[in-house]
Amino acid sequence: MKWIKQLIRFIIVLLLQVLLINNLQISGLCHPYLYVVCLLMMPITLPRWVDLLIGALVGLVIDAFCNSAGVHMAACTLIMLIRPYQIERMVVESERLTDEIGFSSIGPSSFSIYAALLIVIHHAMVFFLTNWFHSFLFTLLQIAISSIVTYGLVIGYEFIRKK
Amino acid sequence: MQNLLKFIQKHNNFLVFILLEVVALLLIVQNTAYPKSTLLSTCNSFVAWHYEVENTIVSYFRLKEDNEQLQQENAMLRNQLVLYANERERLKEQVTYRYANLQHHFIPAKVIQMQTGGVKNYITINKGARDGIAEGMGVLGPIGVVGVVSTVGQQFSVVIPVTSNTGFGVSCRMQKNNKIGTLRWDNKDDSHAILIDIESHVDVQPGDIILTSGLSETFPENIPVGVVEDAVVKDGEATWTIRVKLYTDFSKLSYVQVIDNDIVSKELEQLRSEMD
Repeated sequence: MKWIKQLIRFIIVLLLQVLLINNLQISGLCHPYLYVVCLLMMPITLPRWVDLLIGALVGLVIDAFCNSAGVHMAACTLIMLIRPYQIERMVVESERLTDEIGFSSIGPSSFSIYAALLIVIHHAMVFFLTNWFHSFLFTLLQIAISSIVTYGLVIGYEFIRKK
Repeated sequence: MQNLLKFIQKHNNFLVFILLEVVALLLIVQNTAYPKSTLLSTCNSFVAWHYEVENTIVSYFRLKEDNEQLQQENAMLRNQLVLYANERERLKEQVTYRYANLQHHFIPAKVIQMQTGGVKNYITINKGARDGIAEGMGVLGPIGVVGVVSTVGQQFSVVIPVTSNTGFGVSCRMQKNNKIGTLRWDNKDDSHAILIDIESHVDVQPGDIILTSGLSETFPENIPVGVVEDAVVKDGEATWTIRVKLYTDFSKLSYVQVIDNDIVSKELEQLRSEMD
């Protein structure tokens, strides 16, 4: 049941991402990737290699929608690798953590730091791999602005869910 | 051997990670210039179907704008038609000539999704191999050049616009003095591109009109591209760097036409083989 909920959330967030957010062409600098929220909130009960495979698969689906074969796959796999270490670092009894990761399970402050870190890593990876070495400053700005917007959306999502 | 097994057991998660990252990097390298696989791109019918559904809804809100644009194009074409019809009558009196074969034909398509403003940009259209579209065909908007088809699916295709880092150079000429140059994108914004390769002694003024040269098989001759906005000769260079304002407004692009140059390419091929 828990995993069906995760899957439904993934489908809804994916559609929101590709049909709405990707088409809001505010500026070339602002490309928020809200879909990472699905990966951030996944419970950490699965073996880690399964986590990695899920990350890669989610990335590939997004890649197909963004014409960017491999870019999101690489970024998602990376944050899925870092994720459990980051949670272990902040939560003392992480083995007992079976719920999804969020404000209620690891606390608002821990979640905020955890989300910020992973979002920045993910976005940095995506934009560097997309732009390679074209216009370094542009890429940095893209990472900063997009990360902030994604972060706002993720925290907003958590607030709405809590209510 | 045993040590190796132990090592794998101990670090299996990390090895899975490395494996996945290598696969991802291979995919990235393979697809750097443009999406090569139909499955992993927006011309995948499953992916494109979502965009098409969305587009049917969104396009209702742009009907008025689209109509105006099409009407403008219509008026322009009708003017040209009158001009050419008169010309033909006049020529007919002077010389006997046979009708030229139809060299290009145009396949109308609808833009269902587009990414602009980034470094790698692309447009997804609702026509594919089934409708006769092939890789490398040129794409026109209501007034000017749009881009080139890069990836073709069964029912959808991906177009790389002239304003993309992964794009290609379009061979262009200046209307007033027929000097040939190449149009490239400078990664700045999607309403401008840069024309290079025109020697610095040539007279270039803001407002000069740039057309396609017809030197490549992708675009026929005399398709409007844009107007010169400003031109400089950089230190130590012998050619102009000309900033061109493109006629195509990518933010309002709804309908495009794909140029099927099959007849021209076949003829050229035949000529080349005859020469060999």
